[in-house]
Amino acid sequence: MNKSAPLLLSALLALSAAAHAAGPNDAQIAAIVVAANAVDIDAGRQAETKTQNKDVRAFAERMVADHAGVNQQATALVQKLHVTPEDNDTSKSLTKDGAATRTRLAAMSGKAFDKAYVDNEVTYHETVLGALDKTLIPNASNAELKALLVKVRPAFVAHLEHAKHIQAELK
Amino acid sequence: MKTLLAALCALPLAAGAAEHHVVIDGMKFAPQVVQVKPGDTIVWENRDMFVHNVTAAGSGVRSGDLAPGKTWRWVVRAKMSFDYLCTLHPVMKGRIEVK
Repeated sequence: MNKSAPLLLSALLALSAAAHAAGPNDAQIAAIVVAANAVDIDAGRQAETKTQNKDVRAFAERMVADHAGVNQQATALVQKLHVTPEDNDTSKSLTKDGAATRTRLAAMSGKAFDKAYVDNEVTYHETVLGALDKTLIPNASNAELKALLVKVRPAFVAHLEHAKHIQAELK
Repeated sequence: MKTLLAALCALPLAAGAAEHHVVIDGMKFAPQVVQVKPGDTIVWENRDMFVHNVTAAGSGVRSGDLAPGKTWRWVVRAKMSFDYLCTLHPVMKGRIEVK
């Protein structure tokens, strides 16, 4: 597990703990979804500028495009539902930890960067999938929001498999 | 008489080319395996919220980017089965079996 994983894990464990306490409401879930996607878009943009590996570049480009697509759908839905995303401890932690990871990766280059980026992507998608299954989908009360979360889930599975494949190649 | 006419009209269709549909959704091609004959048409429909493509480079099959809601029609020319994938999401795989 790479060094950034504990940061991300702590944010998502906090999310899990919060869910046991009360569970996020729809406005908080919307903020968490937007923050989680934004973190991966920013990580992908950083990778696009730093990697020399064509597979890593293609993966990073896909993350930027797909997660931007999810956020477009999420933003359109919350506008339709007149829900204002409500920042919360989890969304704030995700954003903060994402920035910390980018700072750490900014100091790396070459294969070390590729490996750190892809390792982080594996951890990120695993933990977000766990959050989707245990917290976000079960707690979403609006049917359309729940449906959107269910609809995007396969993308996180496909991204995780893709990231694991590249991770094995980089070893 | 009407029944006979209807049967005769249906004959060319039954003996002719068929159209097969593959839905792209939830990061999957469904059905994953399609059995076709030369002359048949396959229509891929992207119902997912992401851009996908249908590619079998070795067989010269390339849909190009299919935005959400787009479809792509491809006529089976040769009697050659092949595997294909979405190059954007390489874990998405399908197969065309030409009989």
